[in-house]
Amino acid sequence: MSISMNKSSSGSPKGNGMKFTGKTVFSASANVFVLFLVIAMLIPVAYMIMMSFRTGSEIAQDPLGFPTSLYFGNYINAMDKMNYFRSVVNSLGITLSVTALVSLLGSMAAYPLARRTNGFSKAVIMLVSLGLATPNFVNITPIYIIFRDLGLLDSYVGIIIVFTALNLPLSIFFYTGFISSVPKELEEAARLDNCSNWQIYWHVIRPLLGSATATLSLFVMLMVWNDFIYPLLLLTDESKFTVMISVYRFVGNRSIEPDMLFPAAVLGSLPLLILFGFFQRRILSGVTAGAVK
Amino acid sequence: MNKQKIKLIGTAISLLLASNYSYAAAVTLDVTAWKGNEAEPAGFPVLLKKFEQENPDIKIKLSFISRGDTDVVIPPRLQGNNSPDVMMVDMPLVKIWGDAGMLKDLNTKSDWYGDIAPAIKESIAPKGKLYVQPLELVGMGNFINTDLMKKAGIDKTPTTVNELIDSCKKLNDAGISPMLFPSGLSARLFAFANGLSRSPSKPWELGNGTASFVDDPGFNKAFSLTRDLIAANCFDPKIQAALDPWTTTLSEFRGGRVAMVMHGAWNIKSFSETEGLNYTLGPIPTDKATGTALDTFGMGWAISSKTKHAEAARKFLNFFAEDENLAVLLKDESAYSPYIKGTDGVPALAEKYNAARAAGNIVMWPVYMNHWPQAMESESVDGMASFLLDPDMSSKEVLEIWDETVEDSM
Repeated sequence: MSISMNKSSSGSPKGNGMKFTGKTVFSASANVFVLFLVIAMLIPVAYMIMMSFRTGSEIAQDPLGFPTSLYFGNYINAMDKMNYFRSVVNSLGITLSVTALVSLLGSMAAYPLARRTNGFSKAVIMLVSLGLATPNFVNITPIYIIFRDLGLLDSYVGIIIVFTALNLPLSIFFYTGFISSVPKELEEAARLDNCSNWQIYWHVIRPLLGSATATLSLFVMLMVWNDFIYPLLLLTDESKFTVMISVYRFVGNRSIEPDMLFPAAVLGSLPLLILFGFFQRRILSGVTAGAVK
Repeated sequence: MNKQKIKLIGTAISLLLASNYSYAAAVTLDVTAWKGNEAEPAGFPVLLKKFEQENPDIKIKLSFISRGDTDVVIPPRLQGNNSPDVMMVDMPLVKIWGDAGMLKDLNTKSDWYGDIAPAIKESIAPKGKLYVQPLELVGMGNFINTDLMKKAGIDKTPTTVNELIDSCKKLNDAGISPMLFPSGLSARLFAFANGLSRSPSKPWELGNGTASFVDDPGFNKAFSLTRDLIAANCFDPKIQAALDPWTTTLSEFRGGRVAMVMHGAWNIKSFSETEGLNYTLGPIPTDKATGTALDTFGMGWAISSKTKHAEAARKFLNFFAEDENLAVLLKDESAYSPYIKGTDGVPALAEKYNAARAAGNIVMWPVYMNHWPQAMESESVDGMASFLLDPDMSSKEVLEIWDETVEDSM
């Protein structure tokens, strides 16, 4: 928050005190607004974490109260019943594989679509965009039947292919717009050096996609990590279950027990939070790259 | 290689083949259920272990899929001819999947069908086809915090609407919040119990358009009685319209901050685990002296028509039809047996609810008996919410929409 305090050299009454310009007042108000917004967004998360350290009886007596002591029994119970470490490894493997594939295949497909602006390319982009608009319940049965026929049910490969396919339309759409804004002169210079199309993509275009890839990865990772419908549909072997399916075991049909669900939800989100924290600088620099010219 | 060695190798190969044969003979039954997880175990850990011990040639692979996700996850498997062998179902699912030929006819000549309680016997085999084996009937009534009632000087469980109104007044005088009445469940329990118990029409006549809600004196009276509860300050209608019945309502009752809440008996287990909470389960107050018990069809088993393990699946169902086994599930669920002489799992604290049942004052939750179309489930929530937000509105406005919903579903 910045408030400018200008001391007038003229010594006039107007200039003796603090001088709030319109710009600084606006900036301060905006900062306060953003601060409230952040607090409002963090309250449910803070509530979930606080509740996860309280016993069921404590929560019933005072649902909004602070924990008087940290009760770890809920976490021990949740970890024991979630097959936690195995399911986290499964989720990490699937999420990272899908993110890498979506970034690579999406950018490869987007490069020619961005550069060849003929009718065919436009038609392909339109077709790909349809993938973004198709509701999940339309896809789910055909996907199941195709994967059954391919023998890919209950396999890591199957679930990775499904998530990759579901996220490719977004990726292609995203990268096409981004690559269109890359100056063609860069490619022409590479072509003068006898670079092939593949070499231009790999050595010129791909390194410029850092910011787009960072943003896209955020979306894809969140979507894949949090989804449990496709893992539930395609995976039947419990040892292959993702962490969200494990969390889901704590949700009742007719009631919710906060002391069971909240620690499981915290444990389910924790690996992704750690991952984001670890790559925070890289993601942020990627997201904001190009924002300032 | 001498003869002895050849014999030994021969024996080893035979043993290996025999072990492979016995392995191949073992059947793994793929079962899906929205019970059996950590939140709602329903006695499954014990029962499945016992089943496998009694049937060593059958292994059970139980997959937990919540009721909501069953609608999304199971249909692709059914359409893809790769369905689970046995699926947990409720009556709306039985209607959809049974009509589509996806469920095996369990045959009304099954040993257990003859013992099914009359209240549901015909409804589960409406066209002579039996697609579901019922597992439980669940009571829905009025949970009463006995400590708060005593504080207000009330020592009788309210079973009539007049007694309920009187209790509200006494509780208000004692500075105690009388009840929660969320439109999502409690308001509907009150309206359905009062509407159905007073209606001259059968529930299925209202659900198939033969009779109309708007002309039904029972349902019009139910709305009028809801207005009486509001007038007696039993609850604040505008707050209750959007109150979540599955979280906030239950935590408020568990915390002892409200004297009454109309809800399902499935809460008995978690309420009983709450320290310091003394409560009973009474019937829904109506014009009957005992009140009215509002039972719902909870869940049942169905066998896929495409199963390759029909015999094992039947054994699995027969296991759950045995009173000794079903009693374990019913105790965990605090539910009633669907069989005439079955052992109920409802504890003594539901004595008043049991009395209403014993007196024959029972109505069934109509959507879960397929008496009303499934669309009525959400439409009735909307209708009650509208009424609570504007109690001065005519009940006919809501009931007309319910009639239209029935008409649209036909």
